[in-house]
Amino acid sequence: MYYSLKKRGNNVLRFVLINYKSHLKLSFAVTFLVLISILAIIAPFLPINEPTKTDMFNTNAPPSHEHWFGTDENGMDIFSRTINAARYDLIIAITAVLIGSTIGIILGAIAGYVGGLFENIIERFAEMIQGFPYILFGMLIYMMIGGGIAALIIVIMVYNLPFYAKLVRSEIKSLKNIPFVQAAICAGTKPYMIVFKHLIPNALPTIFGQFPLSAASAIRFVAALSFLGLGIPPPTPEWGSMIQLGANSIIFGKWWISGFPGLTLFFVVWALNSLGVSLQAYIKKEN
Amino acid sequence: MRSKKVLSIFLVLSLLLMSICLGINAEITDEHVLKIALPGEIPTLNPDFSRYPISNMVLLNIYEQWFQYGTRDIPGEDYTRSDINKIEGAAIKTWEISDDRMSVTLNVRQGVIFPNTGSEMTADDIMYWLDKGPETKSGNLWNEDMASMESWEKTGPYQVKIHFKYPVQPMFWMLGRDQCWGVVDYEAVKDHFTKDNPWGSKWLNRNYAGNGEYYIESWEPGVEIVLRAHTEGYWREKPYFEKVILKVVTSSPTRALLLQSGAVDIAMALGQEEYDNLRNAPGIKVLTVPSRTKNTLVLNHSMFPFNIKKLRQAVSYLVPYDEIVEGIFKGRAQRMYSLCPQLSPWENGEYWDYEFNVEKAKKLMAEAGYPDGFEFTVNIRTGDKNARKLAIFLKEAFKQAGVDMKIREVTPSIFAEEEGLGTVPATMETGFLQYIDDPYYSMRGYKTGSATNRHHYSNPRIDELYEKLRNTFGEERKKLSDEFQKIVVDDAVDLELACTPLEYAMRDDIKGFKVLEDSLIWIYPLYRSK
Amino acid sequence: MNKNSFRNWFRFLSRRIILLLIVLILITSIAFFVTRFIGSPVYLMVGSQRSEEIIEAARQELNLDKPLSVQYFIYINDLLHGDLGISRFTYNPVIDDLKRKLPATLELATVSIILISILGIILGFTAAVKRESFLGKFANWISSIGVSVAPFWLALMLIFLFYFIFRIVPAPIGRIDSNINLTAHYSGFYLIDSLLAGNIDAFISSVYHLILPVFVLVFTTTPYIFKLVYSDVVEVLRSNYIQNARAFGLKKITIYRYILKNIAPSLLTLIALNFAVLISADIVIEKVFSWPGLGLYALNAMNNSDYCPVISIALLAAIVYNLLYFLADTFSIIIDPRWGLE
Repeated sequence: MYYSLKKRGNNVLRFVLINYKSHLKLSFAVTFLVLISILAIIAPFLPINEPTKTDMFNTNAPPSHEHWFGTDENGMDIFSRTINAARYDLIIAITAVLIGSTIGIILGAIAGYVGGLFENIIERFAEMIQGFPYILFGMLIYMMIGGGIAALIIVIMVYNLPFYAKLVRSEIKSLKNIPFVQAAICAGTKPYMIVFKHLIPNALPTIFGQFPLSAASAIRFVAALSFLGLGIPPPTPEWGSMIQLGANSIIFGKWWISGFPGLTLFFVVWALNSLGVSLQAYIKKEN
Repeated sequence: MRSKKVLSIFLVLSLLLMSICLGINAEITDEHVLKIALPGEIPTLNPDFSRYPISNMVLLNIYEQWFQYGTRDIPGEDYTRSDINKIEGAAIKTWEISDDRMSVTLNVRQGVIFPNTGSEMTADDIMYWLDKGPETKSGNLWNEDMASMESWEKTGPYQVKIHFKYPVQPMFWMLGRDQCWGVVDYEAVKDHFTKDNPWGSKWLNRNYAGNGEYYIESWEPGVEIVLRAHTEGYWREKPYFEKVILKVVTSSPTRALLLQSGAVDIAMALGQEEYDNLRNAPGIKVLTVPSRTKNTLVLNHSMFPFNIKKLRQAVSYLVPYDEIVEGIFKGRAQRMYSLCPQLSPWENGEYWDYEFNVEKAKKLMAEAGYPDGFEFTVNIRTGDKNARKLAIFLKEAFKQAGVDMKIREVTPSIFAEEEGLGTVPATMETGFLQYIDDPYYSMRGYKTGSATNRHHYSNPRIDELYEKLRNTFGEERKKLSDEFQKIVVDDAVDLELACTPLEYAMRDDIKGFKVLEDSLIWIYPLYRSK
Repeated sequence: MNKNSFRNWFRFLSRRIILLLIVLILITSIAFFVTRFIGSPVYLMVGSQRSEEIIEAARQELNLDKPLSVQYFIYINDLLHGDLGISRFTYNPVIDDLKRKLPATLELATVSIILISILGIILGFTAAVKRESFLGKFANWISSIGVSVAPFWLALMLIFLFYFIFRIVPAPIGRIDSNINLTAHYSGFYLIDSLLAGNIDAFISSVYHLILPVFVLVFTTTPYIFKLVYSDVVEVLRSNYIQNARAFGLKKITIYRYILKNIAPSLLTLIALNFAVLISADIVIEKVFSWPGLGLYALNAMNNSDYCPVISIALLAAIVYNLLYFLADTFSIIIDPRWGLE
C-alpha cells in the first residue's frame, strides 16, 4: 500500500507542474499561501516597523509614506502588524487542526473498525459537540480555561475532533470491506496494525483535502473570537482583534484600521479554501 | 433564459428597495422632548447602592434625593458645577444638627406627591429606607456605615431623627445627595412584601415608586425608557423638557452617529476617538470638564512581585507620566501627585517624587534582589479602551528596565472577581471615580481587611488614622489626611497614572448643563436655546 | 399507511425524542458545570462599594454558598418547573428576556434563510444545468468568496461603503429607526407587526434596517446551499434515469421536479443546519449591527458571568438544533421514502 501512496505523491507533483497555468485560481491561491507563510516566518527579520511599538502622537493616521497601512489607536504600524499577525494566526490554526484531526482520526478509525457501542457513543458525542453553536461554545471553553493562546488551540481542537472522527469513520467503514483488508483480518493481523497500517493511510487522501478547509475555518474562528474581545492578549497582533480595534472608527471613515487586516484575512482564508476544494476535487477524480 | 429571468427579477427588486430607502425622511425633533442615548440596558430601578452606572443616571432623575449641592458658575465655560460647600435641601427641606453633633433632625418636605400612588411623602418613606439597609444587607448598609449612622427614629409625621456613632460626618451630607438615597414610596412598596423578599427589593428592581423630577411613563426593557416631568404636587418649577426618551444603544460609535445626525440630543459614554471626532462636528459640542477620574494601575500587595516595597517603588519610576498626559490623553488629562486628584480640595502633592527615571528604577530593583528585572501580569477589562492603551504603552516603557508586563484581557466579572480575591498581581482601573471628597472615604480603601481594599494592602498606621478621622475635624483633619497621603505615596501602593476629564457630548443647542460631583447627567436644569 | 409503516414511524419518532432528551440532559449538566468555572458574578454585581456582609448576602442570594450538588438539584428542580432562573443583571426572569429577544434573532434568521434557500437553489440549479455559462462561473466564483470572507469584517466594510460614503442605508443601530413607534406586538416580527398595524413607516423602516445584516448573512451562507445543490444536481443529471428521461423527451419541469425530490433530503438537512446556526451563532453580526437579539444577550451574559441566561441559551440552542434536524429528517422521509426510517 505504501507504493500506491508514493505513486499518488508523484502524481500530485506532476499535476501541479503541468496544470499550473491552466488552473489559474488554484495557482494563485497556492502562491499566495506560500508567500504569506514565508513572510510570516521571516517577519521579525524584515526591515519594517516594529509591530508593537507605540506612538501615541500619531494614532489613527491614514496610510502614508511612513506607515503603509496607516496606524491604529496606539500608533502601531498596521502593515507590520498585519504581517506579524499571520504568524500567530497560521500557527494556531495549523497546530490546532493537526492535533485535533489526529485525535479525531484515531478515534474515528477505531470507531469505524470496532463498531458497536463504542461507535455509537462516539457518534452521539460528535453530534452533540457539533450541535452546539460554535461561537458560544468556544467562548465558554475559552473562558473556562482562562484565556490565552492555549485556550484558543484547545477550543479549535475540540471543535475539529468530531468532524474528523465522523469523516474517518465513514471512510473506514467503506474501506473495511475491501478484499485486501478482509484478507489481512483472516491472516490474523492484530487489529491495531490493520487500523494504523492499512486503513488509516488509505483513508488519508480523502482527509487531506479537508485540512486546508479546517485550517481556514480555524483562522476565521480565531478572528471571530478575537473580535469579540477574547483571544490573543494585546498587544500581540491578530487579525480579528485588529478588526475590532478599527470597528468603532469605520463610521468616521477610518477604513484602513479594519480594512487591511480583514482583507489579508480574507485572502488567506480564500486561498486555503481554494486549495482545499481543488485538492478534494483532484482526489475524487483519482478515485 | 432562466438566468436572464432571474437576473432581471433580482435587479428590479433591488431597484425597488433602493427607491424605498432613498425616500425615507430625515428625523423629526420636538423641542421640549429630550432624547438621550444610553450605553446599555438599565439593569434595575432599585435605588439601592450604585452597582450599575447606567441605572444610576436614570435613578438620579426619577428619584428625589435628600439633599443637593449648590451651584457655582464657571466663568468662560458652558456649564456650571456643584458647590460642594453649600448643601441645599431637596426631599429634606430643613434640618437641625444637635449641639453635640451626634444627631440630626430632618424635616421632610411636605406636599410632595408620589405620581404612581398619589400618596404624600412622609417620614414613613424615610424610615422604610433607613430600615432596609441592615435588614436586607443591601448597599444601604454600606451607606449607613459610612455615614456612621447608629440608630434612627421617627419623631413626627414629617420628621426623622438620626443618631450617629461619631459626630456627624461630611460623608453623611455627601451620601445624602447621592442617587442611591432616593426616597421610595412606602405606600407603594408595602403591598409587595413577599415571604422571601420582605422588603420589596425585588419589586423595586422592576417597578418605579419615586417622586423625583421625572416619573416613568413607559419602560421597554432593553429598548427605551420614557420619562415625563413631575409637575403635579411637586415643589420644583416645571422643567423645560417635559418628556425625556432614553434609548438603549449599545455600540458607542452608533451613539456618536445618532448624535451627529440629530436623532438624539445627548450621547452617553463615548470613547475617546468619538469625542475627538465630535469636537469639531457642526451642531455638536463636547464639554470637557476637569474631574477626579483616576487612571490607576492597582497593585496587589498580597502576591509577588508587589509585596516587595522596593519593586513597587521601582515600577513607579518606570512610568512616563508626562508622555501619558500629552500622548495618550492628548494633553487633556492632569498629572497626579498623590492618590487624590489635583481637583480634590484635600490633595497634597508635596510628597510625590516619582518621575520617569530608568536608572533609579534599576537601582531599586537591584537593591530588592532583582537586577535583571521580573515579570507580572496585569488584568484589563474587555472593551476598556483607555486601559488597553495605557497597558500597551506601559508595557513598552517597563521593558526598558527589564520588567515584563503581560497583558490579560478578561470579562468584567472575572476582572472583578480576581481583583476582589487578590489572585492577580495588578489590575488596570480606569474611570474609577473618587466621587466623595473626603479622606475618610478614601482611607476605607486602604484599611486592612476592608472589602474595598482592592490592593490588599495593610498598614496599621492607616488603620489608626482611620479610627481617629471619625472624630476629627478642621485643621486636625487636614493634618491626618496629609499624613495618610504621605504614607500611601511613599509606600507606592498603586501606580497613579493620570487624571482624565469628564466629557459630555451633546447638541450645541442644549444649555444649562450642571456637572454633578458623581459625573451623572442631571436632566432637570437643561433647556434648549434657539 | 399499513401497520409496518406506522411501526416504523413510531420507532423513528420515539428514538428521536429519546435522543433529544438525552442531549438536553447532557447539555444542561455540562453547561451548568462549565458556568461554575467561568467566574463568579458576585463581585461585579455588588460593585466597588461593598463590605464583606454585602458580598456574603449576594452570594447567598445566588445560592452560591451551597455545595455544588445542591446547587445542581435546585437548578434542575427549577428547570422542571419551567423556571429558567432570573438574570442577575437585568433582574428579569430569563424567560421574559428570551421571549423579547428571540423574535429579533428569529426575524433576521428567517428572512435570511428564505433568501438563502431560494438563491441557493436557483443558482445551484442554473450553474449545474448550464455549467459553462457566465452565470454558472460567476456563481461559483462568488460562492468561494462568500465562504472565505469574515462576516463581521464584510459587515463593517459594507457599513463604511454604503453608510459613510453613499448614505443609502441607515446607521447600524438596530431594527428600526429611533423615532418610529411600533406599538403592535403580535409576533415580535417587526415586518409582520407593522403590516398588521397598518404602520407603513414602521414597515419600510424595518425593511431598511434589515437590508445590510441580511445581505451579509445571505452572502456568507448561500455558498453552502449553492455548493450542495450544484454538486448534487450535477450528479443526478449524470444518472441513467435522467438521460433516459431526456431522451424520451419528458418536459423540463418534470425533470426538475424529479431532481428536486432527489436532492431534497440532504438539502433540507443543510438548510436546517444553517438555520440553526443563524439563530444561535450570530453573535458577531448582532454586535456589529446592535441587533437586540439572542446573540447580544448571550454575549452580555457571558461577560457578566450571568449563569442562568448562559445555560438557558445553551439549552435553547440545543433544542433549536435538534428540532430543526428532526423537522428536516421528517420532511425528507415524507418527500422521499427511500431516505429510510432507520
